[in-house]
Amino acid sequence: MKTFKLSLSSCILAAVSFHPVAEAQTSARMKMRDVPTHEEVVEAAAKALEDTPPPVFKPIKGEDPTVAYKPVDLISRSDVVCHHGLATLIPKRAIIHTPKGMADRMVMQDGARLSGWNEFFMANRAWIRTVEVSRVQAEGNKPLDEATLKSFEKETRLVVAVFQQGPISVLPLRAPEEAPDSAGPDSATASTDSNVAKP
Amino acid sequence: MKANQLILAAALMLPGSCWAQNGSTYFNYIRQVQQPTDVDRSVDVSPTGEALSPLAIDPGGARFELWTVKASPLTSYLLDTRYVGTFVPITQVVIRSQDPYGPIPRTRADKPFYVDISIEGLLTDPGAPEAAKKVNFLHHVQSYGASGTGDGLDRTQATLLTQNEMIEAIPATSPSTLTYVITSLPGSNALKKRGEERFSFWSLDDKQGDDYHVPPSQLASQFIQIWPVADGSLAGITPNQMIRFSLPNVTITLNDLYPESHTYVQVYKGAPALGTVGKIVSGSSKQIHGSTPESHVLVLSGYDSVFDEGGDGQWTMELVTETPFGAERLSHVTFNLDRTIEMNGTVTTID
Repeated sequence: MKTFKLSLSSCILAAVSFHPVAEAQTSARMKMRDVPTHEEVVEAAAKALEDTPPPVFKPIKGEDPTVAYKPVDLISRSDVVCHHGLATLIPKRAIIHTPKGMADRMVMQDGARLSGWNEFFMANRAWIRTVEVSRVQAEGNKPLDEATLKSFEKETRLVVAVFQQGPISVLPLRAPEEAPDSAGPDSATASTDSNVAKP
Repeated sequence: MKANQLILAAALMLPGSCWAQNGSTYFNYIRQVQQPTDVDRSVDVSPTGEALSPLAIDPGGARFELWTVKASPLTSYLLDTRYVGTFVPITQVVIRSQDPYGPIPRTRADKPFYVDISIEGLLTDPGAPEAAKKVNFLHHVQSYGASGTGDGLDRTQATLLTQNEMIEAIPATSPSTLTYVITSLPGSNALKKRGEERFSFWSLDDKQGDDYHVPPSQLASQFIQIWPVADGSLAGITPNQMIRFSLPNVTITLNDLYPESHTYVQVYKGAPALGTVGKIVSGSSKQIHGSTPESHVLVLSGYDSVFDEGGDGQWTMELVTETPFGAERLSHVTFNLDRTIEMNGTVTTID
């Protein structure tokens, strides 16, 4: 009988104790650092601030203009026109004539899609009319011409003031400057370029 | 002043800070508001591009406002404004950081950023209105909170840190650079600040009589988003643990992974050696392609094969994140692996 002792290193889980590929992978290097701590960041910032001080500005005075002079909300400055699931926003005072029976088209309807003016007008030109106005008329320094105003009396379409196809607000006509001999029945609509605001 | 018929070519480019969308629920509008009359003209706008404004800009200037409007409920959001005019100074703000991402500049709470500014068109005539001789430079900060992303942020709540009237021209060809070595956002933990810093130029209040008043308007503005430093942990293996047979499940907790980052667990044989490239553990890789930080919890299991080539001995497992600022180790643990089975046997023959 011959007896011997056998020692086996199992290959089941880890057969190779050293492999050239593994060596190559573990010897590769990359630039890396430990993520900084709060203290390290504060310390580094303090040091950097000594070398590069922050810009020196005057202390705050007065109100914050970004709050005090933020433009007024667009919705409150606009009229909604909506029909057949399509809607658009146009500046207030751009609608210069609203015939009866249009109230339901002047509110946002559930599920309506917003669009630009051009798309909306193309789809709804059957009931919308545009009137081209000049810059001076939009500023309220010159009235719309009499014929245009008169045409509104029998107009069954919504009338929108536009400047080069873009809806534009038309300010109320400014009162003409007082002149000794200018008081007349037509003075309310007879203002001229002499009323242009002088900056 | 005499009314000026000059038509100013106003570029109506959608600014970088625009993140709204045209579609069934949102639509973008541009309004040209004449100053000081407040005559308001609507301008149709495409998602990108530019157009010439046909409306002559008065000497008072005009403010161009970019809005996005949500259809339901009908709500408008101001995205950006620009005030332009014949006598209005022209200013520019450009923010740079080590992260090349655009259109909204961004950086990390521990990293510097740079603000390039230019001012042109200031009048030097002593008789000119103050608004034509000076501009106001503002610096606002606003935190997003512990886990905010800036969505729906009310920017009127931002804190005005500094403001400064500037009278010196700075040509756009050689802008002045302001260096901010670290964010000015408030917060007790320097690593976990998140929010935005805004730099803007505003015109001065211009009142020249009862019928001429142009209130301050924004000339240029840019903001940078600040995101926190990521942190993470490995749970399931304790330091110097002797592991036999199969590897235990490891829970990876990842917090505030930086946008556009790659985070993974790697292993290599031996003691911790920062900068070693190991083998990435299958199932541990997390790529972030969003525009805001993300947090995740991953569980690694059945990853024994990653150790096959190295065999038994001391191993190090590292949690690494790669960002535009480089590679960083978030956590690591070293343990000993012994998966060798020793069998002692006796063979007896009839010899």
